[in-house]
Amino acid sequence: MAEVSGPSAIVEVDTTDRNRAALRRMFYGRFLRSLSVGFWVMVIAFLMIRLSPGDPVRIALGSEATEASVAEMRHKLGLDQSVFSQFFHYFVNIFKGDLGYSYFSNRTVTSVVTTHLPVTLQIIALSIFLGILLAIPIALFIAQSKNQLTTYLFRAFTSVSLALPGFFLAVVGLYAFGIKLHWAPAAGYEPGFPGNLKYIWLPALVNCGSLVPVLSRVLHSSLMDTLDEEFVETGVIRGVKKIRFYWSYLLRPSLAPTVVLLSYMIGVMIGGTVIMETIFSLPGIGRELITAVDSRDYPVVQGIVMVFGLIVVFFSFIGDLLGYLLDRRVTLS
Amino acid sequence: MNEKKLLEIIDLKIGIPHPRRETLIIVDNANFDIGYGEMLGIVGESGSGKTMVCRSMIGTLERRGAKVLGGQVLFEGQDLAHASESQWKKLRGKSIGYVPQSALAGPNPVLTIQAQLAEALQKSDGKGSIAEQSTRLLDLVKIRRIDTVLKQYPNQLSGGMRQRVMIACALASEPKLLIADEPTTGLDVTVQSQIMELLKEIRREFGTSIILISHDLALIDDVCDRVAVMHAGATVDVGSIAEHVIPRHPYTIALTQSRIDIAEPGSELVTILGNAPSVGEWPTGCRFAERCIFRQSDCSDGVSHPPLLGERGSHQSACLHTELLEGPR
Amino acid sequence: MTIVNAKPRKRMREGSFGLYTGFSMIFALILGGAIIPWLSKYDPNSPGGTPIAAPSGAHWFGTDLLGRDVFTRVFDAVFIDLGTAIIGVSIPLVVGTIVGTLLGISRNKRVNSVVGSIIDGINAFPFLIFVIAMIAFIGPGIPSIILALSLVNWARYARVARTRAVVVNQQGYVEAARILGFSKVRILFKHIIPNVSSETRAYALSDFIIVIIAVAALSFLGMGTPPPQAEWGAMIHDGTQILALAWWPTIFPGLALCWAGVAIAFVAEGMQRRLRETNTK
Repeated sequence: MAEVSGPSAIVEVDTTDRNRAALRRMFYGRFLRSLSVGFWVMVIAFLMIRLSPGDPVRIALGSEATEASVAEMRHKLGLDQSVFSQFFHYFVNIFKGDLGYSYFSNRTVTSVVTTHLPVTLQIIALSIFLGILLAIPIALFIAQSKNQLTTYLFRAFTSVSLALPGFFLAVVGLYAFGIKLHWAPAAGYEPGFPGNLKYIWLPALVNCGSLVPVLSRVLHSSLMDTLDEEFVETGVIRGVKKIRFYWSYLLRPSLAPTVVLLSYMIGVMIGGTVIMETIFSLPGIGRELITAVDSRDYPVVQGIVMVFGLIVVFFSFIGDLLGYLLDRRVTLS
Repeated sequence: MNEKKLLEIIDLKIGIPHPRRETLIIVDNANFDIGYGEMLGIVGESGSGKTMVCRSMIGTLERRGAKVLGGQVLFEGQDLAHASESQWKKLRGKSIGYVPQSALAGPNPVLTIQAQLAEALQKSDGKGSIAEQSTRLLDLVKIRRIDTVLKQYPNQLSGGMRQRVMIACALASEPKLLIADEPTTGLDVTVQSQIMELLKEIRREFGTSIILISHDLALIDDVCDRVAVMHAGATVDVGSIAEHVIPRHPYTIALTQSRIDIAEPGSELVTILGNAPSVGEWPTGCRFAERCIFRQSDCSDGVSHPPLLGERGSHQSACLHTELLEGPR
Repeated sequence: MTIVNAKPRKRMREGSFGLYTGFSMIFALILGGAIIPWLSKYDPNSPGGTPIAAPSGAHWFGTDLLGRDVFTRVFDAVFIDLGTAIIGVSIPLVVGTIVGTLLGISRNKRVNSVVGSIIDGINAFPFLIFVIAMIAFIGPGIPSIILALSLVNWARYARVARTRAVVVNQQGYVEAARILGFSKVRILFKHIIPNVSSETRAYALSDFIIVIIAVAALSFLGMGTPPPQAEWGAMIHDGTQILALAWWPTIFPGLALCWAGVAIAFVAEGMQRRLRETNTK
């Protein structure tokens, strides 16, 4: 958990007012940091296009393009200006919602993103939902079990399952559930809930395979810490009802690290989803990305990558905040 | 056995079973009792088994992997040592209140004080609504600004306040017995004495019997009527505070002499020889023998620890050679 | 350590099981990769033989669409896959450790905040997405994969190294070396880098699993080796085209990839346990 960094407010809080002040400070701190990281995400995405050894305009126009048309395209794309003024335009345009034009199709990058991002987000959301749904009972069961062998097997199983390639598991899943059992369609999509579930349940299930081991492991270790806490004893002695006990005395106090981690896992989820979309032919933004990479449609690649970067920044911010709000012990020093 | 006791612990033996190795015995030969309205102190070094004995009274041994292997814990005639989970379900949160060790970690950090009091009040049959009863309880433990405190989370309160809240929760069901396991650990001295005053008052007002567990003999001397001294899982010396003026067990003598508060200025502070034997490495016979300055050749002879000698209720000692202790020291 | 050796060894040392299992698995894979393509009577890359023949005595893992022996191809790919991953981990490990260490001990606030922001910025992108984007700009192929992995991953190592270097820099032995008047370079390489790199190397081991899977995934997406070179990810990709007809061209390279991942996971777990044991003793 060394990755969950950042200063936590170290103050002995005595009153609600001071607690609020600490929360506000932490909120602004994280907010400014996220803004700065978000800015650098834009800078890096902007510079990325310059890595290409060839002239992007020539790639866009093909080898038969005349010098005149190349020059015209350069001017149209603003490539004849200085790097700084290009970046300035790029930066301003982002806030106008303009991410540029696709080289090959007559679409704006913004329209590519807005059409296809929802599918991707749905897959990610379902993956996370399934991941949480599986991780909580697993972690609770292992934490409650007094058998050391169970814990050992759990650790071994999580390590091994993290070492399995998701794209291969997806192919195996496609073979088993798609081709052999016909439980899942091998390709195709139908927009809208709940019709889309038929197409995305398998990709999401495979995708949460990288989430469940990590989440259950972190939740398990927080649960073990919580179980050692004295207040759990108090709960037992008071004879608190079972469901309330599990929620208020075990899960709820153990949740903060898991929530923070979950927000950091968004990047991994996005990477996994891109591959799932390719394998299951889902019309998400990941498949658009792969198509754009194949055809060297640079503005589309650049735009999609930047949006993903900003999504990650946003969710880490939310995760940090939630983690802080969930863990009421943080303010202790 | 003239008067009726509220709680009697008889030859209690507690161990932690291990799937492959032998069961680890952590308490053996624990014997003491507490009468109605009495305040009993249990004193001993860490690892002497005091917390485990206390857990046997509140039914939380099992979740720590421990088990009662023998003996009885009689609470008003009912044997708690062998109570089933369903019996515990009825008992919990009713006649025995418990104040946990650490004030900082005692209250549930994710529940407001109000919610915790409401939980504690579930099984009480007190008058008035939950809110009224909560207010009364907080008032009882001398908390001011009650309306604010009710809405706060434990981390917004100071250590002393938290422990008051925990005491309030423990009192919610109007228990006959209140167990406080080192309730002032980590609190500073002034707060500590305030909490002790509070416990005394509670006893005075409601006639609640209180078991106070501590490693601090001075603290127990101050507030308790009687004391049970534990060493290596056994009670070695049980008697009233007054009687302890003439200790009947060498361990008690050693404890008394190592007290900083009554050591003469300039004199060397006497520490107890060696360390208490670790759990699982108890010697045969008297478990204190190796550290004892009065040690005799037959002290380690017996297989098990010497039992408490003397009438129950009188000053009892588990020393085989109490005659040696009576001379001038 | 002497204490451990002085005791009669009744049990294996912590982590031995993982280390032995993991290294044996890797050794078996490397051995297979070294001798099987050489021993095999089939050429891994040139087409021939019956297409899509099921596993049999002649073709243990069957043949693919072009009639190539899958068994030979799976082992022919060992060095491409492991090698790419090893280089893809080593370069960012070295670069990241050095950059991170220098940042950690540097007192220049402006450099620290600018490079720090770049590191944070790079780390904000989802790892695989960023690598894919890089390859879009620099073109496909194994060298591109290595370059892209290095460009992305150095920042992760740099973050680990920087945090560690700040701590190491304040340690007594570094201070002592400074007072003794050793040169800055000597202190850096003799005292600081070794202590920082123990942390980044541990991170590299767990990163190795991610990278080896990423390399195969990129080839699976058609960004790695050009055909006909055998490579697990590319083989899985080719296999999925005929998945309805035959499972073996897909499953066997996939299992090889799993084997490699699990082997490293065992080593990493064993290493971690061993480290923890050494630290607690």
